[in-house]
Amino acid sequence: MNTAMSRVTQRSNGQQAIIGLQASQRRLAVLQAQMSSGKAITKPSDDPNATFSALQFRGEQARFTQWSRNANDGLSRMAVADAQLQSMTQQVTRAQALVIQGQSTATNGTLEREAMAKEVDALRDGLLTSANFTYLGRPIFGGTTAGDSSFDPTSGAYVGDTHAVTRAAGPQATVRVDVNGAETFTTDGTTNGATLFQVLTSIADHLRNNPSGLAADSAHLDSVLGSMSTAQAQIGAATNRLQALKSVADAHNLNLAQSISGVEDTDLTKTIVDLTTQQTSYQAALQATAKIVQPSLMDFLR
Amino acid sequence: MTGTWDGINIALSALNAQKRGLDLTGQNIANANTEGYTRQKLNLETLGAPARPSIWASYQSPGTGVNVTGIDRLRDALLETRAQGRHAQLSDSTAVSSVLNEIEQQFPEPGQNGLQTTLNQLWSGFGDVANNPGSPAARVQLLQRGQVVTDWLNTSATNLDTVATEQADQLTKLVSSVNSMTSELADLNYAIVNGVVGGLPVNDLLDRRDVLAMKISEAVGGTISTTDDGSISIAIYGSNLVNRNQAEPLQVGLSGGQTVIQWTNKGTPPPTVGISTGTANGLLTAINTTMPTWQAKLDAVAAALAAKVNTQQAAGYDLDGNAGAAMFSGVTARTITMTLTDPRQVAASAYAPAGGAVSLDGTNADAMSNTAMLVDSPDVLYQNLVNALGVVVQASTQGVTSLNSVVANIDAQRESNSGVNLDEEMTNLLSYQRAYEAAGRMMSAVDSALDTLINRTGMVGR
Repeated sequence: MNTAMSRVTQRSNGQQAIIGLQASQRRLAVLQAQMSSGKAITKPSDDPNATFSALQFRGEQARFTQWSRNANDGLSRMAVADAQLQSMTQQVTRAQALVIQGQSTATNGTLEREAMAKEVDALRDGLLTSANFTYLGRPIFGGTTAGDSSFDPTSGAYVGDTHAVTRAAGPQATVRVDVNGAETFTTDGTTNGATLFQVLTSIADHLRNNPSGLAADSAHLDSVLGSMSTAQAQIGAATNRLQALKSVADAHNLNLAQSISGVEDTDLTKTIVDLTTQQTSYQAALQATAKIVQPSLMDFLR
Repeated sequence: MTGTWDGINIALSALNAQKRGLDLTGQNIANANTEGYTRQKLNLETLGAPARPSIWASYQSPGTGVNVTGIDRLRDALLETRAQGRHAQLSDSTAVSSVLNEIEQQFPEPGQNGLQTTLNQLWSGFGDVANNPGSPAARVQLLQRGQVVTDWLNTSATNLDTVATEQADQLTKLVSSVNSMTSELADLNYAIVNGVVGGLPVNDLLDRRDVLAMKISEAVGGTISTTDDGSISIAIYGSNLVNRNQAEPLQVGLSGGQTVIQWTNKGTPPPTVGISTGTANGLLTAINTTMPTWQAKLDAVAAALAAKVNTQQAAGYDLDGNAGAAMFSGVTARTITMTLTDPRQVAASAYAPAGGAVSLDGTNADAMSNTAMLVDSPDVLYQNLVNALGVVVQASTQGVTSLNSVVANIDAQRESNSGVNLDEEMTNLLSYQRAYEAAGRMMSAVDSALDTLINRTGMVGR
């Protein structure tokens, strides 16, 4: 109210009262909206910088959620590969034992070697099944192949590709989550070498017909076993890394949720106190207005 | 020596004057709540002795009563001019602020309905495709999320266009209402000049003219000046909008690609009116500057989205081994559309097919899901847009609020100057009433004195 004003009229009094009451009601409405929506910001102009932060937080939250999902997917993929690798290692070790046994021609006759060869054939079938194991419909040891299997069931040749399968689990954190069949189940770690299954075919053949060739087969099996244990170690390391990245992502997500709530949500205690204060001042303004506007000289002149 | 009937004449002039006072008080009370009414005051003057009595005559009378010389309108011209300027400024800011508020409503952030959420979902969709490039479900989901983003952009662009059209409509309506107000004001000028010359009361016409002048100021601004004959003229940037009983019509037109207001009858092509304040200025700013600015910023978001995704698409290979086709076409928010309709065409793989064998690699899809982290990503542009818009809206709302209080203060001052105070009027009513009663008493006192003189003189002993 302008103090320099010399003259007051009923109308100016009324107008001032209306302006004051409206301002008071506006403040009440803002607080009420904050209370009922639970949000301190309902539009960008309420707090442009907080809105900006909220948008960034939400974007970051979406990214970290996706990274956590990627890590989860990679972890289950690796768990499947690890289980297959473990059982395959046992079977290859058994085949190695058979090869060593078959090499001693003194103790084994044709019949015994035929029995061993049959067992090697059975091991080959089991190993092929493991090697062509699929996760979500894709062969796990086949790289990024679009085909159904990693190894050809008859020839035992590698039919996948050599691309790595990776999962992004954080900013600049891409982790390899596959074991490539060409690197792991071949004699020289490339597609040029003989595959484990071709070696096993040759073992069965040598057991039946040419035991002297078994020495070379044994060396091949050793090198495959070596690369399989390397692959298991790699899976273990990658699993650890992915788990660490995932827990970082999950923890960061929690922090982000708190930050978003801190920026966007209403501070209930403060809002309730403000609302009560505002209500009191609104009522006071109403009562004062009622007292000021009512009387006029007419009440006193008869 | 005084005249016999002087007393009666004095009483009569008093009765007349006090009666006028009572009527005027009644008029003031009746208009206590009339918008634009200016309180009026009776101007009384003592009727004294004749200025030049005849030679040798002496004049001993106290005076010959009272005379009403006029009725004053209690209005402060300086305050009125200030008020007109401020009202025009407020209308200007209010027009801009309201269009900014409408633009802001198109960006419901922070929340689930804004573009940020749909973009987040699009990038996550790419992540899902990267996890399982062979899965048709992930690819279909991705295409649908892309559709949601383009739908959002199209809808917002259309809504912004609608806001722009509304502003143009409003400007046309404003100009036609200004034209009718200026011609009415010219008519009032004519009536007032005639009334003053003919000695007729024109106070109510003056009130009506003041209200009109204020409304014209609020609409288009302008400088108001009073001429000797009692008419007012309004000029915008030196050109007369109203001069005495002449009003110059305005029209909305285009000049150099910008919407402008033009003088209809001042030449060919119609010259542009130099509008600098008032609702018209606010609307012109909204149409020529505000709307295009924010539309361009939204278009930049759409263009960045199309460019970033299409470039990354082109770097990869789809499920059939072909190099990635463009996912979006169009570079404005209004025209951006999904061109990719076959889910197999999402270029998730970074490896070209080797010997006819397609790779189910997901690294290119991964790269696309990281688009949001680029410094010039659509996300960053959008976040900057929302932030800048919020700042502008906040500043303009605060500007309007402070101008509102300035205008409220000036209006209160005008009201305190020109408004009717009922207590004051009651007091005046009492004064005039008592004076009227006293004048009546005076009349009967003179009457009974004359009665004694005429009917009782020379009756001694009868």
